[in-house]
Amino acid sequence: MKNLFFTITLLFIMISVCGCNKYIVSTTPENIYYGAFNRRDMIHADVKVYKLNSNQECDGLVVLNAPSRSITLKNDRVDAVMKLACNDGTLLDLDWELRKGSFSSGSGVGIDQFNNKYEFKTVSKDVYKKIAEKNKITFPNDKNKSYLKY
Amino acid sequence: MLFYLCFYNVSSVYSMPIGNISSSGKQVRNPEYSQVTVLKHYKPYVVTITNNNSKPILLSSNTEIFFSDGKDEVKSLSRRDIYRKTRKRDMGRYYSFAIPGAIISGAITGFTFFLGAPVAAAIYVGMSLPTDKAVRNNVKISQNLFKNMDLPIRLEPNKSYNILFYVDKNYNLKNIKITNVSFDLKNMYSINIPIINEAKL
Repeated sequence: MKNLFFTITLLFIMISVCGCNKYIVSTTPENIYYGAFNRRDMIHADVKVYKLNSNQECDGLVVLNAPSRSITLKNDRVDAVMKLACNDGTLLDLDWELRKGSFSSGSGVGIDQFNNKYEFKTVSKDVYKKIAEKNKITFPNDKNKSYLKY
Repeated sequence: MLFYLCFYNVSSVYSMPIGNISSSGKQVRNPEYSQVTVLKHYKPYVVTITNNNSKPILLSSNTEIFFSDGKDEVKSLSRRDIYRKTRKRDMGRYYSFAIPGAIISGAITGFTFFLGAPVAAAIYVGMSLPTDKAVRNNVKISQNLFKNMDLPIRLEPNKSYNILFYVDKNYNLKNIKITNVSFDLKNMYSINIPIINEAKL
């Protein structure tokens, strides 16, 4: 009984701390961004991305435009919207297609307010590590305010 | 109380209004919004903005929304923060009412089979069903913030946009101001949107 309780507690802690990051990178050569999103509930996740060789960083959220629970569309690709704001004033609006159940295997296309085009896709952690300068990602939360002010 | 959760009191913000903009806002009367959910604390407003300039109007990450009741201005929380608050409370309701209700009713039915089924059905209808319905509706309403009534990052010339705002129920909204918008991110302006109160859609 004691061992069972210990195992359950250990599993709970492991699940809690392992996180649910899905890693993303931009696929446009002139603007290489890397980052991740962290799922907060069934239809939304917080996002953080960094620009390679730059101090620019952006954060925001991604929201699925699909029913929160349904018998169908369990893990189909559904439309999603990603909004990002950066510390240099840039705003990005991206349209994504993501797997509903896992928030994975997706790609997104969008623009900033100057109409520059951006393309992102989800990648594995190994691919992310090859590109990323920072391995630790700090997501905005109630204490760390987001750059997205409006 | 919720007022202080949703808005910060701030001093008035002065910036030059941008020209050649037509805008108006109305409170939305929609049966979905009368659901007993967290959105009972908010009044939804739909604002229409048309950019009549020849150049697009650009927002930036410094863009903020201010609400005015004719006397003071308060800064709105971001759409992201409002969304997170509504969703967090939604899920609280779901986990505390809907799931326990479904589990209890399922257990009663399972243990007692036919005799317990009416009791279980009553528990399900009383606890799980209304919460589940409210939460599902609330998800749809929350998604509207980003799905089809989002504030775009650039307002194209001669194009109209419908934008959804949530305002505290007790706030007598007269004007919405969108600050730090520009044509080039150098000279900053604001967009003022007068609100037509008590209008019915």
